[in-house]
Amino acid sequence: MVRLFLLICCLGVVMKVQCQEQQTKVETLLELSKTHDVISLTAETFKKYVVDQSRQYIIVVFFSSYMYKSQCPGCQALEPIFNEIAYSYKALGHTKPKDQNENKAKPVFFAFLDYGQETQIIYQKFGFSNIPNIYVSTKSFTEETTSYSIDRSKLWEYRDGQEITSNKILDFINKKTERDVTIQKSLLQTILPISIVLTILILIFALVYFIKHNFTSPKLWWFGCTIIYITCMAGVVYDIIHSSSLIGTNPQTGEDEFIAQGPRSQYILEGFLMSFLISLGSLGLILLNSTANYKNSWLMRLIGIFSIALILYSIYQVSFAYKNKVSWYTPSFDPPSHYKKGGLIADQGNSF
Amino acid sequence: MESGVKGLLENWSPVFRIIILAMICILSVLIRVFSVIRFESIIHEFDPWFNFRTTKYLTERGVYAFWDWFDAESWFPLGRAVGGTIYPGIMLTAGLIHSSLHTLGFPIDIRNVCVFLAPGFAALTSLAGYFLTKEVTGRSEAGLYAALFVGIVPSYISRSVAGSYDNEGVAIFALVFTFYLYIKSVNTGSLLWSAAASLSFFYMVAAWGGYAFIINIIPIFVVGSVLIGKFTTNLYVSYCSFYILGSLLAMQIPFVGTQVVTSSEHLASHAVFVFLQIYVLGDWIKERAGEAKFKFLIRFLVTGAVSVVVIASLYMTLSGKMKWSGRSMSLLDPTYAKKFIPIIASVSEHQPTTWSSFFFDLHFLTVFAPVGLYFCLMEHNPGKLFIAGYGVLAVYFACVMVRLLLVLAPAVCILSAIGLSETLHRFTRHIKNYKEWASYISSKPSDKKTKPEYGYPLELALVVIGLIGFMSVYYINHCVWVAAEAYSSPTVIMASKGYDGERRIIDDYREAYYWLRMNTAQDARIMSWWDYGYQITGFSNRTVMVDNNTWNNTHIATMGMIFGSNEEVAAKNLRKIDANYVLVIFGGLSYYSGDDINKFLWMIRIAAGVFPQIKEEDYLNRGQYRIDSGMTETMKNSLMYRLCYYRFGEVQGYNRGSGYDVVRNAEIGEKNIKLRQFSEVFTSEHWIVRIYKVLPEENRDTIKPKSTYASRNKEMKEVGLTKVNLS
Repeated sequence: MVRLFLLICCLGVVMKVQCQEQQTKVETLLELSKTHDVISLTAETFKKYVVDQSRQYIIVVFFSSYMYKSQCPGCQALEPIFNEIAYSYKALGHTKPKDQNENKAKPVFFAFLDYGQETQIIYQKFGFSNIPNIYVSTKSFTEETTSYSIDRSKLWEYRDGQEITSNKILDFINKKTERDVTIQKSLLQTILPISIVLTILILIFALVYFIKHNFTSPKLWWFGCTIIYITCMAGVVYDIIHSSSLIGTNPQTGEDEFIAQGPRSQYILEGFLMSFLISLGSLGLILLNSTANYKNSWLMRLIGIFSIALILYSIYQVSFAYKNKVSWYTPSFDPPSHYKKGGLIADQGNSF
Repeated sequence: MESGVKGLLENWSPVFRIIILAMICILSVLIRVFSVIRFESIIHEFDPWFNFRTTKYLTERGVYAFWDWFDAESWFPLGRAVGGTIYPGIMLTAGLIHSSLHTLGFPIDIRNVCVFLAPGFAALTSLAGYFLTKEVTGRSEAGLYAALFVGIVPSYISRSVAGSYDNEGVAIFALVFTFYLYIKSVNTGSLLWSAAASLSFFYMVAAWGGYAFIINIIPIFVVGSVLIGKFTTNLYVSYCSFYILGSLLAMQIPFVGTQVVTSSEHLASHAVFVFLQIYVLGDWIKERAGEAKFKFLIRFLVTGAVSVVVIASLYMTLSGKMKWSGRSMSLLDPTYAKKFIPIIASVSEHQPTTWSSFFFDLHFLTVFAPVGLYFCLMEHNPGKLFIAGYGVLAVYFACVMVRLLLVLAPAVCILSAIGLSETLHRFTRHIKNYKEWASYISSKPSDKKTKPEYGYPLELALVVIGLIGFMSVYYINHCVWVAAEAYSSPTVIMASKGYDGERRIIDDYREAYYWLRMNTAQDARIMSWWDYGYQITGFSNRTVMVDNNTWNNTHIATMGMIFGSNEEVAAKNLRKIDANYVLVIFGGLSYYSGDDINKFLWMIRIAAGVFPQIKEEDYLNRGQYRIDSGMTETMKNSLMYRLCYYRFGEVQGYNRGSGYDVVRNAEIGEKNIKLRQFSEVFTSEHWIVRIYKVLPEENRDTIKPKSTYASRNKEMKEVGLTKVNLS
């Protein structure tokens, strides 16, 4: 009897501990989801929150990669949609624990697992050959050496050329989590487009009003021309057609890359920066010219020196960036090395 | 003594000017002959081969035969009426030079005339640049700067090195010269200059399709001038006479013909002509009717006219009476080509420009040009306004298409010249007056005379001049380097460096073309991708299916379809279009990256527009274009893949497995390719060109007497179920 009591006590303690553990798991996730709609997972936390036993919540995992995002149109398309859905779930209060025994009422969390050296084993065990993927994990599963015992019907896998729409993804997640959530937009998101349109309209009106009164002023013409010059030199059309990103990532190191390699590609920021630098040089020259009209004074000297520095800086930076960009660009005052090799006949006149 | 030297220099300055100009002209010729010195006197690239072939025809058969020439060697089986579908300017120019040299007793080969035509015209362009800038600014030093810049600007060099016998080579001269004559006519209001401008415009129309740029920019300039209140009678006279004469003359070129009236590219010129007449009429009415009545009239008329014009042009464009040609459309809406015309988007020179292309092709001129723009607008006259407008429009066009950097280049050169010469002018006068200023500073305050006009610290002025000198030197250095290294390789011949640093010439193209010339029947038809059409007809004198003219999209798509289909389908189609040989370019062995495997996706895209059975995604494995074991079945079976990699699996590379493609950096997926419908007849030394013969159709299978149908038919007859067909 005593033994039995002890056993029950022990069991109770164990269960209590387990319960507490669960409680803490839910609570930590809840805590985390307060600040982030989508929780970032590592290999360790993935095991803890997704794989391991004893839990009373649903977790939706998004498998994608930060690093290869630029080469993966699916990842680019899915990420904002996933974030939006996560936000909607949170906004409608589905992250709050209510009744932990029914799927319908379990709290739902959204997580993101980045593809990397540590996590790639998880990807392999899921059997993914492609990203992005979504897995709705309603209950824990066991881990084997090569795979997971997962419910394949709750897995959404991306196939090439597949169209990703926010409705399809939402339907999938809704079905698997057994609820009916609609996309909620944050206040900022609803206001933003309207305010942008309004500001642009106001700016246009202001511009038209301004231009109307200064239409024949050469300064205004020059200003307009310079704007066109800068935007065109930045290669906007290239950016539009190739839909380049603001800055890129280096495929080898995964770090941010500001200057695209090779003369036939560029990032948006890079183009505008360079075109702005070039115009800065011109501005220096114009400033220099304007100093020539002043009489000898300290201000003129100062502006003169400043603008010379500006020109030097601009041409140095632009040439430097270009040399970095295009590896074979090596102009020199000497003839290139391969011009001097061999006899006259062997080199077909290169020893000129 | 000093004034003597100064006077002497002043007296001799015209001579110096001529000497400097002559030196600039020589420089602009010499900078373009790197290709001849380093390779040989040969025509480059693709289009020039067609121009060369037609020029040869012209010199052999005369102008009339040339005009009526129906070329059966290209676009088999359609052929091409050459006389009516080309801009004949460059051929006629070369033919004229050739015949006049022969008359004078110089027996020069037509090939050499063609090779050196573009450098010669570059010298003329720098002269035209000098005159235009001088006309605009009234200062010859700005003109000299412009001549130097125009003569050696890399973007222009790229189209006019010796051997690059293309329309653009002469057209840029015509462009700059037309602008010069037109500005001259605006400045003087003289009918003579106007007529000269339209003649020069006529030459431009004859030479290059880019004439549309002139016929649009001049009307825009005229309208702009009127809108900012700079209307003068000179402007009116010059535009009206230029417009009438120019339009009439443009119609004389068969390829342009009635397009002058129907094409939207000319619409601006007509509209502005009408607008000018109305404007003048309005002025006259205003004089007669008084201000108040006139205002009412204007308001009424303007709203009416604007709506009528808008509706009419909308209607005509929508109903298809007036067409924007694809190339012009892609200027106005940059995404148009990508969406609708893959054949235009596939050409690399139709790609939009990145900042680095601007910098590479214009270098420090990009820094100088806004300065010139500033001075053009701040101290404006009609000429300067024109240059500024030209520059701004051209910079937009250049940003849409890489090849239009060429149109931008003269504008940027002239703007830069104006900017730099203004700067130098301001700073050199400080040096000139330095002695006067110094004596003023050092003299005692009591006996101060009038203050000299210019005073500037000498050292700063020297630094500025040094800086400009430094930048100019670097610009020249860049241009020479670019001319020598980047733009002087004649495409058909390539140079590579061996392990010992020795230069080796890769001459596969000519090897293969010569093989075709010597080993195939006179009327053999060669099928290849369109890029090589002109070269095959030019080098080998054989008939091709498609060439670089690209006027028939369907025909080109057929070629793409054949390359993308499997061997049986391809052979069937090839027999249908009566091709005897198939030529492919393959760079996987010799690291030649511009080969057909790399162009293959474009072929598929172009084919997909016409043939629904060709789908781009069939050739891509999960969005990736692969030739290794991860490729798709369709890719593996495609004719292009099989012809390029036939027997490539047997090639053992250095330190690599067999069949390693060095361009794609991958081992090929199918090493054991057996061809059933083709036989390899020629592969060049470095495997760049591979030629296959289309085998004749195999003998038919022996007819089986007991085919299912026959046997069933017999059985049914026996039972009496089939009717005997009596008719």
